[in-house]
Amino acid sequence: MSKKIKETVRTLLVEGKIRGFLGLIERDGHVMPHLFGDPQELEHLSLGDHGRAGDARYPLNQILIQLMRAYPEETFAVLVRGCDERGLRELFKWQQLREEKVIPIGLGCPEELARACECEKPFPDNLLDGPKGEKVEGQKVARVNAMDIDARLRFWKAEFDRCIKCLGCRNICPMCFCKECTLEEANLIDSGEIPPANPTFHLVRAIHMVGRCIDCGLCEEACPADIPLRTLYKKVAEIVSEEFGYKTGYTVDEKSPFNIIEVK
Amino acid sequence: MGECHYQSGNVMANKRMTLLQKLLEFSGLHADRLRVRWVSSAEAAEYVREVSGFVEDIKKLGPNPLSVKRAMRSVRNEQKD
Repeated sequence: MSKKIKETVRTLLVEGKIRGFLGLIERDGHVMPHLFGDPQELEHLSLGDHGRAGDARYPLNQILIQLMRAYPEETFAVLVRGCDERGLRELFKWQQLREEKVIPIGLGCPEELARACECEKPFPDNLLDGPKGEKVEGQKVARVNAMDIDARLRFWKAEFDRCIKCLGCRNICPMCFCKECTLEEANLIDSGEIPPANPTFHLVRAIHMVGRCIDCGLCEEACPADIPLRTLYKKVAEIVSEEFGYKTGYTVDEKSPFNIIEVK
Repeated sequence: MGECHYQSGNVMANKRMTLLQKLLEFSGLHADRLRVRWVSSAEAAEYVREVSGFVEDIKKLGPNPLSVKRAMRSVRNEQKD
């Protein structure tokens, strides 16, 4: 499947259009992020499928932000799935990346991955390779919505009680770019307490995900306590879409309702 | 709305309140436990009426199910038994 991608990237590199391609490489049986600068390395290119489809994904956009801070005048290509493309759009709006310096290399997700993700759009508009999969109707949020209010409280309390406050969800998040984080602000969140304030800690993060979360699901994958974080953030997306008509990462010109300062 | 000293401050606050109420509901807490009302500093009587009404309504909902104090009290009572 990676043939088209390899050829496109090789051409970009040879023609000097990009300084490097940020993608994934397989080495010694491990898949890891890699900045391809030499076309010859492309034979080891990985698309993030190791044992299962998309089980070796990384927050490439997060690395891209670091790269572009170090080399602001250079142009880079980056491997993007549907979620990553949504992420790029928001990061352009938040001025964390410069659109004219980024060339997305679009990869569509296989049905198996789209189903596991309950993905609303499992392919980027800028699709180069891979399938243009169908929207998957979600069950995760619906299952919690269907519980009565006391059952919901018991459900989330038990889930959040397992939190060891490793901050893995935040650290892996490609959309968390703040230099100062509320979750580490001692005046707001008690330090040295495990589990952290339940449910405040996780609701604070959920609120901060408004207009940011692009539903990549890396937080839930990273969580050592198996907290269904994605269900929580999917609900946030549902609320923002239903109440304010905003869908994060689907448009290039529209900003999150929580970022627009309305003066009447 | 929009007549805030901080100009659009209440418009922004209102969006956050809507979101938070929905999120509380999803987390298993009654959205009615959070209320936002706009009262000017010249409307003391209305302020009192709003707060009294809120206290009355919140009493009907009963104690906070997440109260740490209450959880500690019930643990102590169990130990006594």
